[in-house]
Amino acid sequence: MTHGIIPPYLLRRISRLDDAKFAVAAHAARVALKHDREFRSVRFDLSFDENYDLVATLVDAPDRTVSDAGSTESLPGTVVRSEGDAPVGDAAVDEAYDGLGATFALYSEVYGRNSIDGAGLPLNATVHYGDRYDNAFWDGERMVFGDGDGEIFSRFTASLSVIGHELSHGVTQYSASLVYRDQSGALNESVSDVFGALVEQHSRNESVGDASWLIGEGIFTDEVEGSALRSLKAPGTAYDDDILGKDPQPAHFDDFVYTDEDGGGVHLNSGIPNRAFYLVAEALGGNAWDRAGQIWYDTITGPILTARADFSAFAAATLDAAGSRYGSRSAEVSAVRAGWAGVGIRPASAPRPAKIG
Amino acid sequence: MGRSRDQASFSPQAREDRLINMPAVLTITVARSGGFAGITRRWSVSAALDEADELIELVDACPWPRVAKDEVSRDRFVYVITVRAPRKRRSATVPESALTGPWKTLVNRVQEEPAEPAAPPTPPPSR
Ligand SMILES: [Zn+2]
Repeated sequence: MTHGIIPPYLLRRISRLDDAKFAVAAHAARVALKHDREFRSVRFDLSFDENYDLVATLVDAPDRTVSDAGSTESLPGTVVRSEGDAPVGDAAVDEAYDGLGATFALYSEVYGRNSIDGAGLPLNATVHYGDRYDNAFWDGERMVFGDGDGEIFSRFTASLSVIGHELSHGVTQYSASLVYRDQSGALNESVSDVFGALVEQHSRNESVGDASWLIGEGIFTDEVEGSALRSLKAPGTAYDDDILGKDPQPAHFDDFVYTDEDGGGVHLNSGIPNRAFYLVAEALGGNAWDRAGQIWYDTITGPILTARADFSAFAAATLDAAGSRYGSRSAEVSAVRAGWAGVGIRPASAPRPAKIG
Repeated sequence: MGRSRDQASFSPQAREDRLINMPAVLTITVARSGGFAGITRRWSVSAALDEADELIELVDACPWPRVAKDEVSRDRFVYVITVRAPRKRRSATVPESALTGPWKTLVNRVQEEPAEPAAPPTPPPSR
């Protein structure tokens, strides 16, 4: 069965068809057009079933806009590619557009979440931000990408996991809203790394064993001794370079880094929950987005996790999520328990405060 | 920074420096942490206090007690800017989104300073 994305002009034409043969399609097209006006973006798919009957389906679809800051620091910049536009030939623009789509696809197709807020929020990106700007960030409304200095970092859109990471900050903002410092901040970072990696794996159809588990592969220049910025599989091993130094991420709670910088080391200590996720995914096998990813998704969108959760509280919430979905005696619960034990985290004992009397 | 901090920096070393008539030095350091990579970079500039008018002017232009917070951005840089002089020490944590106007001018000036040669010698910075 093939799905085609129908451009609006064609939708309008289908919606005006009088022929009874196309009544269903015409109706669906009218619904799609109405939906587009009243709500957000939807995709209108036409296909044929086994009886060669025309099947029209409405599915959630991304509404992407990529802007170009033209090497300035003013946001949002000039719109250069909108939803449905053809590639423009600028690598940063087209990578951002495709990355927004791949991120939307993971959340929509696997977890049933329509965009970052679950309600079809348009996805916005700005590229070519700043002069040789060495960073990518989420500003609360859009993801913003620099071109890199060309000496250590090249453009940040080159890695799909970075794009997935930034948009996942949006998902966390609209769900668990983990406070961005200390352990809850490291969890916020880790959630973005986990789903950033899953966006990449899902789009490449890579199993747990095939995946690199790297974040930011391809954004270092050839001069740097390193494959990526972070590794979920082996935190602390992503790079070892004479200028940058060695990847400082801990992989175990014994090595937790206490620092005043970077909100209490949110980009360092994320290595600990990152590794826990990897261990869960490795134990369960198959595609990491299926069960391990589902448990983490249920955790950040679930009722237990608080904005100031620490590692131990987060671990307890993942156990609860695994138990709710797969059963308390399931292989999934065992894998989650072992994953946290593997990084030295003991889940908080009572995720649901039980009131007596 | 409050009064107590200023007095606390009246260190024995600072007094001794003045006794033996060492030129007083002003040092401004910038530590940029955070960012997607989480890699901290540091820059600093120093000048003899009696030749530091240009730097003092840049420091005084900054709104030290009133730094805007940024609770919504993720993966942006955080700048810790510290000024040290024999009788003064002040420091501010400035989120990237608030690094505008005089803050930006000050940080740009500090970043212009060539990196201090470290021992053992590091490879040339142009790579
Ligand atoms: Zn992040």
